[in-house]
Amino acid sequence: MNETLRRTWPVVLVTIVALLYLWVGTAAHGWDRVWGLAGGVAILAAVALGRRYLAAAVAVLVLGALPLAVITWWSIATPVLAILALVLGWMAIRNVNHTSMLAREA
Amino acid sequence: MQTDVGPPTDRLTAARPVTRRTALQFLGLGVGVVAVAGATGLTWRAIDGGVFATGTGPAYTAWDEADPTGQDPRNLVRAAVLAANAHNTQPWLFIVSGERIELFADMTRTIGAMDPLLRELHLSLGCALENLVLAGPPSGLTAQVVLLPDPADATHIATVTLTPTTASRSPLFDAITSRHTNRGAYDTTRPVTAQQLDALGALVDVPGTEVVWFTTDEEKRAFSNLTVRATEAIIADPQQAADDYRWYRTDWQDIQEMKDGITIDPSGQSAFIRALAKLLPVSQEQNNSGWLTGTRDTQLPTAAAFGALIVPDPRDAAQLVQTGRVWQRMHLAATANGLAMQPLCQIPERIDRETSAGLAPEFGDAAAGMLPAGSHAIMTFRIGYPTATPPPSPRRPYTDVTS
Repeated sequence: MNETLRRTWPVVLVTIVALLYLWVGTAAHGWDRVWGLAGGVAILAAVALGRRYLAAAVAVLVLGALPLAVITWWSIATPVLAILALVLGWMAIRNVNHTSMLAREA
Repeated sequence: MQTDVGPPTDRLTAARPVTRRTALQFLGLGVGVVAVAGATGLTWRAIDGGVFATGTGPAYTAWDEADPTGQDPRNLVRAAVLAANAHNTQPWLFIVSGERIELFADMTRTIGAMDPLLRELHLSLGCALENLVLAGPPSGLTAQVVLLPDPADATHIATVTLTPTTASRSPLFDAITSRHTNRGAYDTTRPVTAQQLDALGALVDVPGTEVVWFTTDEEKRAFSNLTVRATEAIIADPQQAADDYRWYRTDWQDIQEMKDGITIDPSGQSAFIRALAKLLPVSQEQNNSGWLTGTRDTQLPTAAAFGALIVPDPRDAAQLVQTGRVWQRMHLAATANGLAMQPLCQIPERIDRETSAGLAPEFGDAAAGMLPAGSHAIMTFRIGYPTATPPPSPRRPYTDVTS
């Protein structure tokens, strides 16, 4: 597995998960809609933040992933999405942070 | 100096070793792709099945259309379509013409062996008629009802003549959009008092119709046992079970298109079970099992009391329609006072089946022992304080039921 693929695939997959959050948000109503849309945006933002601010990115990831899963735990789908968002999001953030650090050192 | 240069194949192996780390990276990528693909499928199924859209969409817009503006006869029909009715069949058709509204039974929307004598059909039409009459004054109209105006046409249920009046609202009218059948657990710590039951009983204004309450532990046990037995008998009767299941709607697209039938959302089940039922196909057997379990383990044990509307002649169509009006009125009054109600009509449904199919009167005899001599239960139900607000059921709007 080459370096680019190794560093990119978690980013691609967590982006898909973020889009699924946005899809749930557009299909839902009330607070479910708010947390679906906000969650999707927050997960994407977390990956972007990860280049420079690791701790902040992790915080934004958790805040983006969990609320929808908590208030719609009964839906089965959103808890699964939240687990994937946290696992893949953490991998993606760690990867982009490491890459960015190497680039800065170079 | 010695240089160890092996054959070309060895160099290749040495240059690109499949290390444990690389294998784990590929495994991680594979697991990640499969997991995200599965999550995408699950999310699609949840959205397509309406998991996040309870009570929304075209099937539910009728609930938002019942507030009147101006002296418009259509407002009365908009309220009528929100009435209680058997299996959510909505067996009504309206003709609105100037100062008159004609109410007809839609005989294509019966429940077959579940209602072979059309008892529930006439009760349902009575419920619609009550809402229609209650919606008159808020629109500045008084509704005068003539029941069964055409002796040659049994489907012509009522002619309603409208005359202008001063607009006014009533608590019963205001409860129309918040009245829903509550199939969930009731609050067992809050009894319904005898005074509350008497107040509901006082709403019965039809000669010959009475309400009987079952409030003692012994009476409630007898009612519960007979209801469970009737539920089991319906499930064991292939024709009755099939006709019952025909009105269950499990597909979200069907619900939005047909806007009728019994759906999982107002079933009283937990949100988790409702989501599961929307994600996975539900068979008739699973549906029956859920019905029996819900009736036996939740609905019957948590009821504060049971009731029965009784009449001397259960085949009298006019009496059935009028008693339907009474039931709707009682349910609206209960709603206005924070109470929940649910028809539990398995006993009369089984009695009607026995009568129509020539079966031994097992339930007819058992029910007779619980009621005043010479009376027949045409509507049986439970009452209590709700533990949750039930979601609305799908409804066909005004435009779908008028001509």
